[in-house]
Amino acid sequence: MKNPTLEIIDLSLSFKGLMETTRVLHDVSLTIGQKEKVALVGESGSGKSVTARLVLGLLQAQSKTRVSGTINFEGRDLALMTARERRQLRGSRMSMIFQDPVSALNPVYRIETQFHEVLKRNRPTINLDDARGEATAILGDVNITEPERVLKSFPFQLSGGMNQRVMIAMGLINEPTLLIADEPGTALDVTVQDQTLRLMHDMVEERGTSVFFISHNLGVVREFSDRLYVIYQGRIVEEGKTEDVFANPKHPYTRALLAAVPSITSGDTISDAINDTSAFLAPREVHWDA
Amino acid sequence: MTVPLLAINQLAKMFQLEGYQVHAVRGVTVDLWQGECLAIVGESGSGKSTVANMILGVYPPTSGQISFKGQPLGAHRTKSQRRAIQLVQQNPFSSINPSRRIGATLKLPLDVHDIGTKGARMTRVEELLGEVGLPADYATRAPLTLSGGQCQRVAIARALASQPEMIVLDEPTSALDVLVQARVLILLNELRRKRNLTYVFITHDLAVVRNMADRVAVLKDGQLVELKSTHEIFDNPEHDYTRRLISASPVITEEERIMRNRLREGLAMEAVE
Repeated sequence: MKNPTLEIIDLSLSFKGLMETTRVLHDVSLTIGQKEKVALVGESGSGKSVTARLVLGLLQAQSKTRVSGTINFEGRDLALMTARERRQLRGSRMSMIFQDPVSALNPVYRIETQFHEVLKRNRPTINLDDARGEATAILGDVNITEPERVLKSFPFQLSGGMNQRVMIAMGLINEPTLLIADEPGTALDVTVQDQTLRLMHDMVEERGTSVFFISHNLGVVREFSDRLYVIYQGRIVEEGKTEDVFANPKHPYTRALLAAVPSITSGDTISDAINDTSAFLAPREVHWDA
Repeated sequence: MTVPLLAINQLAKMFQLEGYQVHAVRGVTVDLWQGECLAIVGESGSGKSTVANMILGVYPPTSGQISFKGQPLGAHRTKSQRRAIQLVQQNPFSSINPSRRIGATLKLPLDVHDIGTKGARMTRVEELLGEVGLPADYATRAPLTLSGGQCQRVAIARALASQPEMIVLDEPTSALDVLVQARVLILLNELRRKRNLTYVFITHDLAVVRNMADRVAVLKDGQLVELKSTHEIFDNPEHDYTRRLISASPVITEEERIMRNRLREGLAMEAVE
């Protein structure tokens, strides 16, 4: 692939505990091309969110963590950047949309203040009035009919769907080249989730933003991504064009995932799932909440 | 069978808040028959959890009645009425006491309802664990050492402990991974068949509904907009809201996609008209 937006090469990660070291990622490699929407699919504990955190630089190497491998963003090795340079990337060249919009936004600031904050990433001198103007425009793009009222509101005064749209707008206002979306909308109702995902799809198509989409929901992944990687216990087990993987899943784990999703067109699908999935249900001794 | 197991008649709930009122449920009528699984679907705020809470007796209805086996469920329920209707909640980690061993959690309903002799109760706990597919030695473990799916199995075992006739399942699998969800759904189906249980299954996952329910009640703004057999509701959803719910569900197979697109086209055509 020529000049990919994001290139992860042999990324490994382990956490050192009291008794033993847990290897969380095993040589994960993935590429996201320009304007490409790529999904990383896996269950909780598979390592998908931790991969996103490493890309953003939100999981710093500490004495308890061991990271190896390379992450190149727009051709530059993230490991070689200074903390300051990385901070400048976040919120401007790469941004993130989180699972639960209400807890991701700051509850004590009005939406307009938070937009202002984000815009200052790129233009430190921008004043609140100009920020308001730009925010109004982009809120219109995410189909918010009364942007003035929304800008004056606090997050808790808005519905979940409204907050999600605010977050999509905030994630895209600095025209990032890469948008990382970690389970967007799973905290919302199905109808609202469906609306916001379609909206996000249109927004990134228009702007040509690359998307790194992290999800466990295969239906959503099918709708949203061009290509996908399947991650199981910290290893990429399958990759391919979304259509191809759904039509012809090669790895048994991918087949198990597909078999386990109840069908909406037929009422007797889950009883068949038990054979396909049994191999991948190792009893986990400890529950790690992702 | 002439008397339904649970008869809900013109059920309404109004919450009085500071300065305004919320009509959470407005006149819901539905009968549940022994052994059936009724799904209640709707968006958040549609009133599905309020209906469930009134079935369980968490709070009384503002108006309307619920009868169980022909007897009205009043503000004060008899011990046998309380025993007969149990609950499984969405998040097993918050519905199970984290500081109590699994065995103690499962023994509590046996003590409260005075089931079996004291000496036999620990044996019964082990049987319950077996019924939900967990090893007997899990009785000595703490909830936080279990995975999400295992913990939800414990919650199901706790509901079974008092030998109920009906279980209210409030989003029982939406916090679980798909592989684990499939297993738990299969378990719930088996238990229903084996013990002739009646389920009230509250969810917004329409694909799960199709695979679990006999009938579906669609709630919107506290009102019942459609009540039909599962087969009918998916093949011929009449109400716009039902069609919107079904068409918003993520799809995987080509067949599902065709159905979804057909529903969406129908909705778009009506919007134009």
